[in-house]
Amino acid sequence: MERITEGDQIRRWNDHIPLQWKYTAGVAGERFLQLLKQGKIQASVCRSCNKTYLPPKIFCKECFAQLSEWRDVPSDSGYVYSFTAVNGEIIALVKFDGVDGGLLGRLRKGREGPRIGIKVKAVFRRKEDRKGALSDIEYFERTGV
Amino acid sequence: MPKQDVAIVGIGASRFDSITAGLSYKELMFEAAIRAYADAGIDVRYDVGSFICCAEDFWEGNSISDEYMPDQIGAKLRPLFTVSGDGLLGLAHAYMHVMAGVSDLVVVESHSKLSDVASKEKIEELGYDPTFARLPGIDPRYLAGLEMRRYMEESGSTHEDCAAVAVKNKRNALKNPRGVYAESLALGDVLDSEEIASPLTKGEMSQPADGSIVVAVASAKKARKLSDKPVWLSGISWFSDAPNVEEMDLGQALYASNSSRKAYSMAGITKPATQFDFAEIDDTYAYKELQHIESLGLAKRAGKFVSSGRANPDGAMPVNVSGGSLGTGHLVEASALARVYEAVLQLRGEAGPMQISSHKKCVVQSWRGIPTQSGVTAVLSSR
Ligand SMILES: [Zn+2]
Repeated sequence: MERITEGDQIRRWNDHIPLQWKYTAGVAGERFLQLLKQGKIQASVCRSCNKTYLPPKIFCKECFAQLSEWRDVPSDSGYVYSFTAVNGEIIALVKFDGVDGGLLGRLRKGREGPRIGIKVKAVFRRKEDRKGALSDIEYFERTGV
Repeated sequence: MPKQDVAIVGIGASRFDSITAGLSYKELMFEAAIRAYADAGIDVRYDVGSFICCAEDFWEGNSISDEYMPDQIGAKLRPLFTVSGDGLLGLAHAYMHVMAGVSDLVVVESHSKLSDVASKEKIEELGYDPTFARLPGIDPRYLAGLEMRRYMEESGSTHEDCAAVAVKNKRNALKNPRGVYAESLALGDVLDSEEIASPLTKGEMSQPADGSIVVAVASAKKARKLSDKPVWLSGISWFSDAPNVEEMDLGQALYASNSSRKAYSMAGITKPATQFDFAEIDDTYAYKELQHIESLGLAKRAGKFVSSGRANPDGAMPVNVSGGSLGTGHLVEASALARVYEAVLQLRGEAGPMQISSHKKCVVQSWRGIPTQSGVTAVLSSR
């Protein structure tokens, strides 16, 4: 087969895909985000499996039941499950006592470096700045220091 | 004796490179297909009963990309479908086609033309849940950083152990003609390279490559007729863990432990640490190889295992003698089919300067990359 031997013979088309979506948060997501706007974190509960879902879902992945029970998750009951420094920020997966799942967010840099297992609380944006999005939690910060 | 129902009877690879300038993805597929059919000794237009491609629209840059697959692998007006998953999942489908009697000769193809993709990180970001896990302004590989730190915390493997994987695999690739990212490095080179998502450094991340792999899979009867060196696919299984980052374990690779348990039981493997001669497994990131070694039951403390040289080509359990994805490049959905290609060469004793002395049985394993917790495990043997 004849091959291209000169770089400037190579034809390439530059194109981009300008697409947009409107993602539906759903029944559980809507409720979670509306409460987040009020400064509250809620999870859904399956009593028969002893599971607490965060972010909440209306279905249990263990027993396939529909879930309608909710419970408050104290915003100061978090702990760092893991963290990474990326793009000049610290991103953490924060889990909460007695809850399956957790929330992703920024971790505020303290005097001491972060560690797995440290206790953290969610710090919300000012009420007027909240949008009903995950970013309503401005950051997590270490408690009890 | 392990099952001998389904065998690999032909393999073909296109050229691998960081940029395959001037060749379209279809021409890469054509190149791999010609070689695979010559290797199997078949006439594709008459002998093949079904075709399976493994590709994903976002990587192809084309919606309904499956429609563009047939002609360049000889599948015009033949049963063909595309699996939106990694190449090893295509091999699982081929196994089912043969076992179900759909076809006694199946072709599996997967490829990468990543040099055409201008927005690799954006596509990775779009894999995350839009409401809870896409973090604007944050490199989507944040999840690899979270996972690596959690894995190290739970396993006791050190950062030096992770870097040792990159050093080993890039060194192994020096003997591989497909070793696009072959390099002789010291631990410090890897550890001191740019930090992408701490503790993960650039030197510990496989880099993109182009390439296509074609594998021909046959029933036992057909395989014995076609080949004097059939490679038996004696076990294969796949598994997906939590789709949501918040629910992921991160410490262990549950998709690997679960899929291997099933694949091993099909293949009669009860002691993976001693029954395999070698392993070709996912090393998209250096720590992933360690995590996979543990989840596949190949060693209990993978960090020490690799750092002490036991996973080297002359060690007790050579892991990624080919150089893995770190040494040969990451081929998106084709990465695991490249592991199959390298494993088949070893099992047949045709790996040239890479050839190891014991090469009868191996495990091959895939991971679908961030943000998934999905993967496939297969057991291959030459007898
Ligand atoms: Zn339940």
